[in-house]
Amino acid sequence: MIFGRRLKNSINLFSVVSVIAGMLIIVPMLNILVELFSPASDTWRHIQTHLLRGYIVNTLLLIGFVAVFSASIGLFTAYVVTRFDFKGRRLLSWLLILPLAVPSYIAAYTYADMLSYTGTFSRALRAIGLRHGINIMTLPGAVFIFVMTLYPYVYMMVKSALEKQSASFTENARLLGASKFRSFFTIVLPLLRPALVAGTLLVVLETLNDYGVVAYFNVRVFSFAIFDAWERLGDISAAIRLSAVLMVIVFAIIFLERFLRGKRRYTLHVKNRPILRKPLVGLNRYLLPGSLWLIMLFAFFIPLFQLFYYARLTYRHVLDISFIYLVINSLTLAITATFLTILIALMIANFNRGRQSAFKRGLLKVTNLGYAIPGAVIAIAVIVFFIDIDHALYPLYRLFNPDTGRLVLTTSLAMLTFAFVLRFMAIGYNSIEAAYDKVGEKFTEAAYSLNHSKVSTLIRVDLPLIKSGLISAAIIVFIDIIKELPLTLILRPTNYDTLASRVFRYAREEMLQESAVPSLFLIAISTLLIYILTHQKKKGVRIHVRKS
Amino acid sequence: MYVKVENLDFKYTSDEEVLYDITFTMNEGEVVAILGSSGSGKSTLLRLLSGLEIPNQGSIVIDEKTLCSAEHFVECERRSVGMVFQDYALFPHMTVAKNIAFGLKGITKEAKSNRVDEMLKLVNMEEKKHVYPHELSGGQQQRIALARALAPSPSILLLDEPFSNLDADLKLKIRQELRLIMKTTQMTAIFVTHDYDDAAEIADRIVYLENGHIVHEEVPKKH
Amino acid sequence: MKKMILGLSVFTMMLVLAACQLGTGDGGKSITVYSERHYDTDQLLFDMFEDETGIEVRVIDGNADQLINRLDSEGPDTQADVLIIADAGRLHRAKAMDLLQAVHSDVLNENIPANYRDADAMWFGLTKRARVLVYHPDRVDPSDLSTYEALTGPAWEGRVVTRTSTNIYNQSLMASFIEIMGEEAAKDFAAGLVDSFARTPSGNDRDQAKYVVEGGADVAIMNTYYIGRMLNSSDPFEQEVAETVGVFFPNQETTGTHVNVSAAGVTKHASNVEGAIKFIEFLSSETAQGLFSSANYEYPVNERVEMDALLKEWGAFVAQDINLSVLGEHSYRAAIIMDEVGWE
Repeated sequence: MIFGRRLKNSINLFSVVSVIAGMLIIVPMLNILVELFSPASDTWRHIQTHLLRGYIVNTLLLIGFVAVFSASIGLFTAYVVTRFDFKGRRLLSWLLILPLAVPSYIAAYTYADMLSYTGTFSRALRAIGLRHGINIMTLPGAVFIFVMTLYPYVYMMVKSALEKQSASFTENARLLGASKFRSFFTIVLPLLRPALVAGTLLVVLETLNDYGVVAYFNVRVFSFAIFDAWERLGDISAAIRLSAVLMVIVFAIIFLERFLRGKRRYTLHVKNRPILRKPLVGLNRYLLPGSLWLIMLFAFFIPLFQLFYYARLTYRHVLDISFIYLVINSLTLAITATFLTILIALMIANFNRGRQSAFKRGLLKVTNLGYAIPGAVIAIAVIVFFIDIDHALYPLYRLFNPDTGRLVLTTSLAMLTFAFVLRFMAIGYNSIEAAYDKVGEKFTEAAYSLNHSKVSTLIRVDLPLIKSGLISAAIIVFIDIIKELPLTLILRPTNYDTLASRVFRYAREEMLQESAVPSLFLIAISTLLIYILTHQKKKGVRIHVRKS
Repeated sequence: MYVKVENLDFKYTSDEEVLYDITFTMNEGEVVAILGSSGSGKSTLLRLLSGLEIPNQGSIVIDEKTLCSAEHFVECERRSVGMVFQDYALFPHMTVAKNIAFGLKGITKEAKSNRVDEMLKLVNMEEKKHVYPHELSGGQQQRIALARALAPSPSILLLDEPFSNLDADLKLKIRQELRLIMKTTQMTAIFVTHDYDDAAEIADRIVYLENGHIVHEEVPKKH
Repeated sequence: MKKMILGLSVFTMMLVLAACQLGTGDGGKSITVYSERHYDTDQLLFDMFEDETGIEVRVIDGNADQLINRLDSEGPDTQADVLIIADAGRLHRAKAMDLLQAVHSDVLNENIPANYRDADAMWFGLTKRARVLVYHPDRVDPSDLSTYEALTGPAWEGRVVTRTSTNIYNQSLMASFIEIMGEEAAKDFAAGLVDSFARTPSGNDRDQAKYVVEGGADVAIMNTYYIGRMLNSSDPFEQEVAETVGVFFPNQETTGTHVNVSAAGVTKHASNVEGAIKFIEFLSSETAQGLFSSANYEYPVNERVEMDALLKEWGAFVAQDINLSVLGEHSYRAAIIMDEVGWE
């Protein structure tokens, strides 16, 4: 009786949307699982014998080194910026996020070019007598590129955690006689663990999904393998199998982390006394900020200058009418997809508040899945899915337009938009959930008790309270979408070029200098958004709710 | 005199809490309560004693060691001052045992373990040895915080509003327990509070602080 | 009520997006070309075609494999009439996937030599490129060079570079060897070549030339048109590299230099077959061939057409005498073999 009542109560807009979203994410998974049960092809056996081990080793090496270095740089930069005071600190605190505006593949093309025999760096080195060139198109080179363009994920998470970390812990440690060194390693660092792990995990997932960099550098990792099996060896089922292996690796990593964490928690509600920044003394006054500027130089300014140089050479014949369409295409696609992603993520976040249940937890895990599935796999599954839908809805289309072709959704932006939502749902969701966590349930519950419906409360109470979190989520998702490459390449409607696809095309046709112009546009848009993200006014609703 | 505080002055530019010419003394084993409303400077006084802040002038001597003077300042890491914060601040990622053992240095593992057990027995929490802080109630957390502060045998114990986070029933119980523990360990202690009853119940002497000045001292009548 | 509106608006947005792309039937007045190449001069040619025939050319460009996969998943509903991609191996793949249809055109048969047309008339080569040896004249005397096979000898150990085996051009090269010498000999060749590598394959064809000039290797295996491109690059340093190296056409006394083509085919489900055929005929004609091939510094397939000045400089050469359909037929085995010998 009660169960029936509970069930009825729980059917609302949030739950319906969440469940549908969950199902739509599972469908690609099912496609993949089904493949595992069909017999292995000869190609698969060939891959197993000659290539698989290399793929696994290279992938683990790549993400291992990328994780370690990006975590270190992210931690170092966040620590220096939050704990010390020095000239230019405030500027650096948001500049350090900027490398995120540079898509990894653009950094890859640019550095490869600069370090090629005829590139700027090599010529400079030769000018000072160093004849030996540096070949960046290798696995270590890829590590460098990923670390430089992705460390900001770790930086942002750790910075946020450090800013919130209460002085109580470190002061207590000091009182108990711990030296600064010991205090850092036994108290500060462990308490940063959730932030470090979350940031590094994001970096690792982005690395695993990348195709542009590894294809260009010929680094044989899984994303490369999947495209290779699909395109070179012509075996889509082998490609799907490889995706399955990749996902197992991803889940193993996530699982391992959870297991190692055990019963420990990393937060406790303590009086939030912020830690005061200390001024730098002695050599550190130059060394520490200097190292931050050095990181910015390599991660952002150097590629940017190279791109500006090339843009100056080629802008005259790249900037034509069709270029404007390019920008419009990129923007409209990203805006629409972002809007949908945030909307659905909001529904799911709302659904997930209140009493927990196994179902809710399961749904959550499914939502986060989209991010772990490689773009190539999502693409295949989405195409198949949409063709089925198109065939099913064909009669409906004929109602609108008797002359219509059969493939309507498939030839439209819907497919790509859908794929984006699927893939970036996780990011949008996590940001929104974090924002909700900060606010708590009290206000929402108060609104319900005052007879407001769920939707009305959402619009009039919840949204204003999490406004800044919502904006942050939207910006991060937008930047990710506008930079995205593999899905865009495969799923865009014919003749629909975006900035990202144009950059890729120019690079592939070895017209690197022409690619500078669309690259710069991409980076400019993302930079502007990051600026907005980091300069959001801190005023707004202050939440002084004592959590019991 | 075990504790000698002379002419302590404190003014921090962005802070409202200021202290003017604070002077007082304590005997070993004495428990003193600093009574004052919020903003009177009582928390600041504790922070000065612990070494978390530096005074503009004045001196602090405890157990014949000069902790702070015109020419000398001992870092709080080396002061051997135990402190229990208002929010306890137990390290959330460590078990109770590890929390308590944190301040123990220079002794064998076995000795550490013994000391931890000793402290747990003192605060009556032996069965919670391997539990994490988030699994404890407020009152339990406070006891562990106390145990942690006492474990390294500090020369003085400071407590910042030890009862403000507890509800009424618990308060009475904890007050008595605290007094018992203080007397058992013969700990010299200073605690800060805004509640007269708390002060009267536990302290041997009450010092009244108002707007940064010591305005009054008295020996409370005990029941 | 409000939730209904919210839900409907999401759905409607999807439909609106779709509606913007709703195809409208057309009447033979246009063709859609899925093309891998899209040089500026191509557009000139397309405009010329439109002026001549009144048929509008809509081009969708993309990566070859992606175009093929797209064509495949679109099935009978595809909008594409013509498929233009580089490398006969890939065209064979499209043919094998049943994406093309046979075309019987005397014009095409006349314009294009048989070796460069599919045996079943499903695709037609339009531009030609050779995969040659590029060397540094300071360290290599051209008289030391002879055949591809010779490069596997001990004298060349650690002196040869080429790009990755996953690239279609090398795959086709291997496929041609399988055809000419048989699989086993081809595998030995590949293994021997890997021993001669100066480094694990890295970078594209141009990077190989640069590495040779840099001194890391002495000989590179690469396509002719890249030299053309580098000589005309806006980057003076690239020009310098191209001017430094020498170009050698191997196997002139034996089996001929490996040649490959960019080709076009009519898609199986083309809606404007007639227009498609006319289009390809146009591209193979003397009017278009010159411009079409020289845009990418390639050789025209139409033998009646004069070559570019640069190509004339390199002179005539003997090409492998095989029908390029075999490049596709052996493509899979070529890939397998290269993996087996560790050619990365």
